[in-house]
Amino acid sequence: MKKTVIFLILCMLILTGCWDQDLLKDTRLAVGVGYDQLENGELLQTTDIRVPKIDSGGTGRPAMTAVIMKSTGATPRQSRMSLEKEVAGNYAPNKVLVYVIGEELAKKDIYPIFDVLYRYPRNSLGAKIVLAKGRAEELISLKIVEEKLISDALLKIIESGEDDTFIPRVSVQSVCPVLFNAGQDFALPKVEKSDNDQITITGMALFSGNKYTGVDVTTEDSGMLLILNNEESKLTRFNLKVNPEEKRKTNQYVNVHIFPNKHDIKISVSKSNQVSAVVRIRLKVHVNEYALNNLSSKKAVESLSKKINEQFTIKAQEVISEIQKANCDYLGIGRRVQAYYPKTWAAMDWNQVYPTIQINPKVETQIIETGIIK
Amino acid sequence: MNEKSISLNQMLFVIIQAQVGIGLLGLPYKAQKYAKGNSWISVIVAWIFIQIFIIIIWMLMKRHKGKTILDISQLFLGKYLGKLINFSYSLYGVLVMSNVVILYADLIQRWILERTPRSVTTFLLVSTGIYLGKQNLRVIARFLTIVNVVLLLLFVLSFFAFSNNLSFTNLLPLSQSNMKEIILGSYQVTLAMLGFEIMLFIFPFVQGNEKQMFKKMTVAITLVMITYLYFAILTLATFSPEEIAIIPEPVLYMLKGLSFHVVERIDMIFLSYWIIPIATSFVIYLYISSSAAAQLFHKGKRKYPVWYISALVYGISFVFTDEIKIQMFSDFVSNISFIFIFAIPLVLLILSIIFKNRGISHN
Repeated sequence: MKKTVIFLILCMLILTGCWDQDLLKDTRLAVGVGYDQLENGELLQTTDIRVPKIDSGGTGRPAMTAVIMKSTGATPRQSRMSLEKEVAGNYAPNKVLVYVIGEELAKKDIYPIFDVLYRYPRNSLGAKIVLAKGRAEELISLKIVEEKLISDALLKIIESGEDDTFIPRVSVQSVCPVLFNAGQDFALPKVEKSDNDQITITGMALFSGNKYTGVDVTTEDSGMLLILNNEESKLTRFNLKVNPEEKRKTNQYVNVHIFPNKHDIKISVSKSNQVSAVVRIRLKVHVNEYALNNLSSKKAVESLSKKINEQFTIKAQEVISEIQKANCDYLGIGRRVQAYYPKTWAAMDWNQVYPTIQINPKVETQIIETGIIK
Repeated sequence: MNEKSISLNQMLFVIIQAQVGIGLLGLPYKAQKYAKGNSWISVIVAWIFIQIFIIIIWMLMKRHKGKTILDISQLFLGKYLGKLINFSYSLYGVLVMSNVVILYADLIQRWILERTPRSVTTFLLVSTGIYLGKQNLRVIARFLTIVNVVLLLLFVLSFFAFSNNLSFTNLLPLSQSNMKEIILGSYQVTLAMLGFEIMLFIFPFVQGNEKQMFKKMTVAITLVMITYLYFAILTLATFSPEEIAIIPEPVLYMLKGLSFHVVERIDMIFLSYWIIPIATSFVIYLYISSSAAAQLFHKGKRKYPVWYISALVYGISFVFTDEIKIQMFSDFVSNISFIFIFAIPLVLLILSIIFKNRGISHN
């Protein structure tokens, strides 16, 4: 009996765990954070904080609203500290959905901005990162887009862009291994504020090392780049100009839905230490829209398939020369050289060599479906 | 005999639980320091080393049926030197337990409970450890057998990590570290796999003949090796080599960034369950330490030593609180452990072979 009593008292004292409690009612959740470079060298942090509306009476979920707050500091953590002085409650960054980085800031090494995210355990590593055209501040200050609060809207736009294979799936966590790897570069989704205060995805912003190159791959070609890197998503569609000889513009194009089913990058090094790579992809094609409407014969399908193949090859070559010009080793060729030809790797300066190497795309296509009509 | 016997399968699980512990979380980080991307080879090399240690222990114990290392040491080294050895085993247990407790408290504080005083989290582990550790071997073994379900669960949780971008080219090239570096790496891995020395203490209580036992011991360390290899390869593929160099707990870190509709922060779930294998390591060393002390001072009864040893460990845990001190202490404990898992059993085995008659006359 006595033992039990002592045990229970001890339990009361020990198991309540009041040190680390963080009550939701005391916290102010940040859901979207933007960073910009100011002219005086400081960072401008624009934060979207989610708070319940004051007049949201009645039952059910309280209506939420976005409060946009701005603060400055030399580092992300300092700007957060100055923000904490204004916020009514504990500033909590653990549910951030999206980090937006301004163009100017991204042109310098971006690791210093991310350091605190990796170091402090409560930060949200699953948050998306996007690059804003112009300043991140402008984007977040929109507050409401398409009847959605800015961070939610941004997240939805990014997610649907990912599903449609326009932009890569990038989170704070997934960028980290690449930030540290000399043999691979990454790209961030790029968004911009359009004239009517909407947000649009404009493509992929190519990084070289940890710096933004200033070069973007537009959404027309970014799908191809993602497929070349085996990053296809749920839906991958292309509009291809297969019949340029047709008069009517609508008849020139075919719209295809593709299912990559083979991806392979082969590296070879010649005797004179010349690196070259062959990217082999095999695509299964569904024809979605073909205004010319003559796919009943096998011959017609084969000729269309050939044209589609040509278009894809051209697209692939274009996008590869684009990333090489930007010196962005998005396909991770360097990593493969490092792994399979360590001696060659050690002997060269990859940043110098990469733009000059031969990368040949080899595309195979096969039409497997033409929809419910021929 | 004060302890009740256990079955062969229970022995298998006791060894697994003794080996798997806090070491796994930091494993690729420590091994990577030396062996770089080849640290997965170090895991295999470490397994070979442990197999050799297991053979030494098995040969020694087989020659002296019904005796633990505590009896054997007195048999060959005389009353005083033998007792000194037994006392040092007790002390070794205390040091390892302190190390486990300190690393655990540090881990919890850094990852989950930032503001909770270490004394509280430590107390929770130590008190749970006493509760189980004061029971007899059979009870402990049964518990450790059930607890293996947790290891399966942790495997399942680790499958989430496959949704990271894995690049297995990180494991290549094979030439990125030389033989010496791989062996230095495997030394680190061996430290994370310590615990099989429990056999020095429970060998006589296992029901089964020596051959069966040897097989089960090999199975146990092989299963542990496979687990470690799996986690090592997974983390190496998740992080680039340059990145692992700054992440002390890659196993947790790779789960941290994942987010799903229903669950988030899988690292916290993982860590909460991982406390169980940590606690079992604690209990096993409590068993080692307390049975050595019991044999010296309490005629084999472990009832009292369990309490004062745990209190001592709790006290030691207050001394080491900052990162550098913890690292120093941890390295110290790791380095002396080779005396107890390798050197002493080997010396006793040699003595046993030289003085054949002594062992037999006591049988």
